[in-house]
Amino acid sequence: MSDAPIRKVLILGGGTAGWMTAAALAKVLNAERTEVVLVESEQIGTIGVGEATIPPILTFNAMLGIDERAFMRATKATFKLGIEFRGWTRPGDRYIHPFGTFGLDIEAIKFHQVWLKFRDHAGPIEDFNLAAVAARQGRFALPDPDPAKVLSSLKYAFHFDASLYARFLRTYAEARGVTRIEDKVGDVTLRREDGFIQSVTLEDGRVIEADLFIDCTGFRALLIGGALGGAYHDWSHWLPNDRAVAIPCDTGGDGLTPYTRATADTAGWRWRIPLQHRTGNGYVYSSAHIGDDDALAALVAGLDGPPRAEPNFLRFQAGRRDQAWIKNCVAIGLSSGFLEPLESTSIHLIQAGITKLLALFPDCGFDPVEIAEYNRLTAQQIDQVRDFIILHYKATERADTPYWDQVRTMAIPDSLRRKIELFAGRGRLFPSDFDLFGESSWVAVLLGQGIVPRKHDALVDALPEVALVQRLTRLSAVIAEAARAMPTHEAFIARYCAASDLARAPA
Amino acid sequence: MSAPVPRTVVILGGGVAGWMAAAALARALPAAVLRVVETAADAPRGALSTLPALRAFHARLGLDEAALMRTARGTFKLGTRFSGWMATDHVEGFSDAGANLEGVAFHHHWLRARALGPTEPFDAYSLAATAGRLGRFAYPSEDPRSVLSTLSYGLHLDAAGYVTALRASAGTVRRGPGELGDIERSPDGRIAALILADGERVAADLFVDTTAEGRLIGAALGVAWTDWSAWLPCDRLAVREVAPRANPPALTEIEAIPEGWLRRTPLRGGDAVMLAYDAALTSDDQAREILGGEAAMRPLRNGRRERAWLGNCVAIGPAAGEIEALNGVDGHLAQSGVSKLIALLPGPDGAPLAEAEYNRLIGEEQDRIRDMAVLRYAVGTRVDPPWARARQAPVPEKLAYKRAQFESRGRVVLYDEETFMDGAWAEAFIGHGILPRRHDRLADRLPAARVGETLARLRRLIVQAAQAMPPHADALKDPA
Repeated sequence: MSDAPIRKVLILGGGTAGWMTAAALAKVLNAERTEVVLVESEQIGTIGVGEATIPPILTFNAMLGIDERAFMRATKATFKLGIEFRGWTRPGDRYIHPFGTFGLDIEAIKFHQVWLKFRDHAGPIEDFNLAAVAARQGRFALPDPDPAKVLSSLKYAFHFDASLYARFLRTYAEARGVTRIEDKVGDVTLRREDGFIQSVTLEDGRVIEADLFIDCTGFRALLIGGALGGAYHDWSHWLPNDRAVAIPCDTGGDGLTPYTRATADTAGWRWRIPLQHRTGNGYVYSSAHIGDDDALAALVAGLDGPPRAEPNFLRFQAGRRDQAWIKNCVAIGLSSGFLEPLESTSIHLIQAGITKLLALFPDCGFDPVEIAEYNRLTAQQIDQVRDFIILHYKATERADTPYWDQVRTMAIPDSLRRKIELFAGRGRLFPSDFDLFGESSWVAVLLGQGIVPRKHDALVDALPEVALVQRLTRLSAVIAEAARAMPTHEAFIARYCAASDLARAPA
Repeated sequence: MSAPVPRTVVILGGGVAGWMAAAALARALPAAVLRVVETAADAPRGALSTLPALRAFHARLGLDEAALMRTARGTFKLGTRFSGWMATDHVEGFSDAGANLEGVAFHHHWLRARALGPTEPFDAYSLAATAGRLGRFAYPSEDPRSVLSTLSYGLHLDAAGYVTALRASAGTVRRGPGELGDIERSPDGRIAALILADGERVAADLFVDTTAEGRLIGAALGVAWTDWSAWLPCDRLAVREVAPRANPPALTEIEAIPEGWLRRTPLRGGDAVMLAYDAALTSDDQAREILGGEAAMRPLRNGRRERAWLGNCVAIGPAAGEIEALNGVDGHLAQSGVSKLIALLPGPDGAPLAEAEYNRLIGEEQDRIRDMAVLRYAVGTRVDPPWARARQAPVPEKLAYKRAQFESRGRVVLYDEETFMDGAWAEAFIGHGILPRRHDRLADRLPAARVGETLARLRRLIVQAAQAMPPHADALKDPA
C-alpha cells in the first residue's frame, strides 16, 4: 500500500458539517500539499435551524482562530448557560441542566452527597451552580480569568443560526484555499480492485477524483450508506421520535434567555432557542403517537410570537452507522448517525468527528489499524451520549399519554440501568472517563428527572454538621451575589456582539 | 442489622495493605469499631516505590510527609530507570517528556525531529528523568511559568516504617497478632465471625481481607483466581537490603537479567533490592548469590481474584490481586481499593449493586496495570528462558490493540480506569524500543526548520533546571 500523503480531499455536502470540516482542514492541512474541494448545491436544503451548542465549541473556534465577537455577530448568536427542561418528570415541573459543576467537593466526598443530606434546608442544587443561577435570572458575563473568583467557574456555549455559521465558515475556508463547487452528485464510481471510492460524477458531467472523501450529505448518506452500503444501527426502540417540525418566530415570551428550553409534550418535546434576531422552535415527535398536523398545531400554539417562515418538516431515525469510516470515506454529521438534539450534541458530534479525523489523518495507505480506532472512538462516544439521552425518557413519572407510557416502561441498555440504580441507592456515580457528559451533568439530569437517592453517602455524616451547613449557606450566597453582579444577557449582547443588522421587532 | 454503614470492621493481615485500609477506614468511619488482626505471614517487608498519586492519599489521612519520610526512611522518586532491556537504558519519569506543541503530543515532534536530524533520546526531554539521572531533586514549583511546575514526585518508603506511620494515623484501632483458625458462616453464607487460632471469636459487619493468600476471599469463600503466569513468568521474590550510596538517584532502578529482574529502591540508610525469578529455573540459593547475601523469600503470584468483593468480605491489596513490582505502583491498588470501598460503603446487609460496580472498577484497573507489566515482557529481546517463554503467549487483547495503535501512528489508546496516562504509555513504548512508523501529520504544522531548534532549546532548559537542583541527598537532609 502506498503511504503517499493525501493530495486531495473531497467533501460532499455543505451545511454545518461540511463547512466545519472544510474550515478545520483548511486551517490544519498545508494547502500547497493537500487540495480541499467541497461540493454542495443550493437546491438541497440544509437542516440549519437555530442550533444550540455545548462548551467544547469554544475549543473548535479557538483552534480555527476565530474572533468570538465577529463570529457571534455573523451568526446572530446568543450565549447559552444550560438547558431548561420543562415537564419532563411530570407536567409543570422544571429543572436546569447547567454547564459547569455544582458546589465544591469536600475531601473525597462529592458535593451532591453533602447537598443530599441537607437538601431540605439548603435550597435546590441549582443554587450551587453559577450558570444555573445566572440563567434563571437571565444574566450573563464572561468567565473571570482570576481562578480565585467564583466567576472563573462559569462555562458557556452559544445559540446561533447554523446556516449563518456555515456561511461564516465558508468564507473562512474559501479564504484559505478551499474550492467550492456548486452542483449535485450524480454518480459514484468505486475502484474495481478494492472497492474504494475513485470519483464522483456531478450532474453537469464533471468527474472529480480524490484520495479521501468526506460524506456530509446528511441523512441521505450518499457515500457511506449509498455507495459503500454501510450498515446502520437502529435505536428507535429506545428513542422512538422520528419526526421534527421546525419554525422560527419573532422574539417574545421570556426574550433572550441565556439557555435553551426543552419542553416535554404529549408525544415528544419542543425546543426553544433564542437568537439575536428571532427564536428558533421545533417539535421533535414520534409519528406513531402524533400526526404532523397536530404536532405543528402544538408547536405553533406555544410560539412566543408570529412565525417568521413556513414550517420545515424533517424525518429521521435514531441510530448510528456501524462504521463511520469505511475505506477512504469518512462520514461526518448526520450521515454518521442521528441523536435528537435534546442535549445539543449535534454540532459537538460533528466537531468530535473532525477532531478525531485530524488526529488520525490518513495517508493513501489507509491503515486499517487507524480506521478501526476512529470507529471505536466514534461508537464509544455516541453510545454514551445515547444513554444520557435515553435517561430523560426513562426517568419520568409521566403517564399522561401512551407515548410517555411507552418510554417510561421500555427496556434500556444495561449500562444505563446500572447507572440509574446505583444513583438511586446512595447517589453513587462512576461515569466513564470518556463520557462527554461528566458527573455534574449526570447529577443534574438524574436529580432533575426525579431520581433522588434513597440515602446520602454515610461518609457525609462523619463531617461536622454545623460547619457543613454554614459552608453551604456561604457558597450559595457567594454564587447568588456573583450572579446578581452580572449584566442581563440582553445588555451584554448589545454591548459585546450585537449583529449589525439587528432589527428586533417588538414582540 | 440495618445501620447505614458497618459498625464493626475486621481487617485480616497487618501489612501495608491492611494498615492502609485501616487508616483510611478509621478516618471515614469515626464511629465504627475497627480491629486489625496482624498475621505473621503478612508482616511488612522490603520497600515501596510509589506513584505521585499516593501523596494525595497521605494528605487525606493527614499524614505529614516529612514525618512520614523520617519514620519510613523515605527518599524521593522522580521515576524509574529500566536497564537490560535494550542496549541503552531509559527512564520513565514523573513529568511528561517534552511539551505539547501546536496541540500535538511531544512524542510526535520528537519522532519527526529524529527523521530530520540528530536528537537526544526521548527521556532527555523529560525534566524528571534528567534530574533523576543527575542524582538531583527539587520540589515542584507552583508557578505555572516555571519548568519546575511540570515536575511531580513519588516516594520510596520502607514497608515496616510505613506501617508504623499508618498505625499512628489510624488512631484507636484495636490491633494485635493473630492467626486465622476458621470462619463461622451465617445461614445466608456470609461471614459471621473469624475464629482465631487461640479460639477467640471475632464478629464484625464487614471483613477486609488483606492477606497475601486471600485467606477469606479465596480459601474461605472460594472466589476463583485468574492466573497471569503465562504473561508474567516470575513466581518468587527475594528481598535484601544493601549498603546505601552517598547520593542515590531519586529513581527506582530496575534491571532485566537472565533470571528475571532486579529492583533497587533507595532508602535512608540502605537500599532495598528485590529479585523476581522463576523458581523452576532459579533456586533460592542462586537468588541469594545474585543478591550477594542472605535474603527473605516469598512467593509471587501474578493474577487477580475474579471478584474482590463478595457479600460482607472485601479483598484489598494482595488478597485482591498481585502484579509484580515492575511498574513502581506499590500501594496504589490498596489505596484505590480502600478508596473505592469507602466511596461505595455498604450497610452490613451488603449492597449487590455497589458490589458489582466495585468489582468492575477494580477488575478493570488491575487489568490495565497488568498490561503495562506484560508490555515489559512482550517487548523484550532477551533470549533467557523466562523472557523467551513469556513472549510466546499472545498478549491481552487490549494491550495488543494499544500497541498496534502506537506502532502505527504513535497514538496512545486509553481505556477506563487507567493508572498510566498518555505520557506514561508513550515513555514506556518508546523506552522499550517500540517506535511509531509515522508521526501525527498535524505535527508538520511546526515548520521543519524550527523542529530541531525547538527541541534543542527545550533540552537546554531542562538540563539547566536539573543542574540547578540540589543533590538528592541534600534534599533528604533538609526537607522543605
